[in-house]
Amino acid sequence: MKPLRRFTLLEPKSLKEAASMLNKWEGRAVILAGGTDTMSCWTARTYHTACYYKGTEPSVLRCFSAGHKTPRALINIKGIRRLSGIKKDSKVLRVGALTTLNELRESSMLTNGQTILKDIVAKMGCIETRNMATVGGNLLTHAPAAGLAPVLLCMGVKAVVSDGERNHETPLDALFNTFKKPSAVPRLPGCQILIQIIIPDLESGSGVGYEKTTDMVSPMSNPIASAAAVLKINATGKVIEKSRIYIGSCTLYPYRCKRAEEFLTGKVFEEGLIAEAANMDLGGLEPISDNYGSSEYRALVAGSMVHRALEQASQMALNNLGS
Amino acid sequence: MKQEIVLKINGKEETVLIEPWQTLLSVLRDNLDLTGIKSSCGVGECGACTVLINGSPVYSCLMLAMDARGKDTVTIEGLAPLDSPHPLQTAFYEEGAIQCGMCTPGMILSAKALLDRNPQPSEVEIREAIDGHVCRCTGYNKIVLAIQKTARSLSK
Repeated sequence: MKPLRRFTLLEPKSLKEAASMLNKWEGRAVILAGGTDTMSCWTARTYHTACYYKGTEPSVLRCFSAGHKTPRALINIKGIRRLSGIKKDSKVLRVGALTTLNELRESSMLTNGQTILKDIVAKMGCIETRNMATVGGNLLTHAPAAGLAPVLLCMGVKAVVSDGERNHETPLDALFNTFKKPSAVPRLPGCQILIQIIIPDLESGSGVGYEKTTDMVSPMSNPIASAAAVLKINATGKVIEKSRIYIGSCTLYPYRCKRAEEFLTGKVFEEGLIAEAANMDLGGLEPISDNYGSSEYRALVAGSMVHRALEQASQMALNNLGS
Repeated sequence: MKQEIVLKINGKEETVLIEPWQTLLSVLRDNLDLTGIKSSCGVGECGACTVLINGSPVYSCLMLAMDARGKDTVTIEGLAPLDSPHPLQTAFYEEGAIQCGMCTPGMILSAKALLDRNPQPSEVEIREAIDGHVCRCTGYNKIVLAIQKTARSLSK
């Protein structure tokens, strides 16, 4: 058996205590949620998919193994009960950060467009990892393979974060923007902790699509590319009122396809529009190269994934017209 | 600093003195001598270390032993007495679904979790249940056949 890496294990019982521990350890502590990423990196000592982020600092996990500000403590937040569970609140779904992926998949509370999350989760890892991995962990480990992030960003999900004293809501994309620059330890600024995400229901006439290349088993694996899209189509003239597109698995954080969104919004939906939009943002995309695909190959595949996600989203939106 | 904790393993409460950084895999093998559980990749890729926690399969190499406090842990040793194997163990033997045996404990525990929840799974559901296990010998087909055979025998 591989020798175990030593660390200090901290077990807070409240958010206040957890925030205080984060503050005390000044960047040398990592929050432990499900453990599928954190524990595997800790044990492996190296991030062996050898991710390389073009134009950015090395990934968090490489920093982890390279000894730059190596974390010394794990803050195990599983003892904070209020972080688990799913609640239906009016038309939104409140999902606790410690809710496991399988709990999300098996929840009967997901309705309409939210049910796409069940299909997405079913393609993430395997049953054993889904029984451990958490929604919050999947979003915040800074891993390009964070499978939920692109679709949640497209759906306009909000995050609820806490500094131990107060909670506040913030759009998920704003949360990702707060840590655009990779740090040695995955953490939110100001010793904050993600406690919940709020998933809205899809608007009438909207459709959501998601596509990824592989069904990799391991939590250490990384799909070559993924894409998610949400389209809202007007019932009377089939005008695309709103579009949101993100590419996942290619960059440290999901990449927003702003040019394609602007191109599609306001146009009357017709065949061929999607194909034109699919590759519009690939010029600005700088994908990682790793064991599963080179940067150039990922960019090509990403275009196909965007195309398929848009096709799914438009189909669902057309079917939902007037609903 | 070592800590004394109580774990419920195979229906029996065990008091163990462990380091806080020890994984459940390490405690089961090194402290409790339950070597039916296998240590292989150590990073959640192969499935050899699978145990059941409250009836659900998880990778014990990715779980701190501290997190198993207050939960029911089942290893292959706790599945059935040696002189009266579980139907899954018998079916694996009869179908030739065991060769080197490295993946077998994890495969059987994941199959048990599946059959407990879904006594008549389809082949697709069986393959999904063993998706997180790497087998270098059997080519998986015999394992699927063994699980199907068990499902049939348990339904009678």
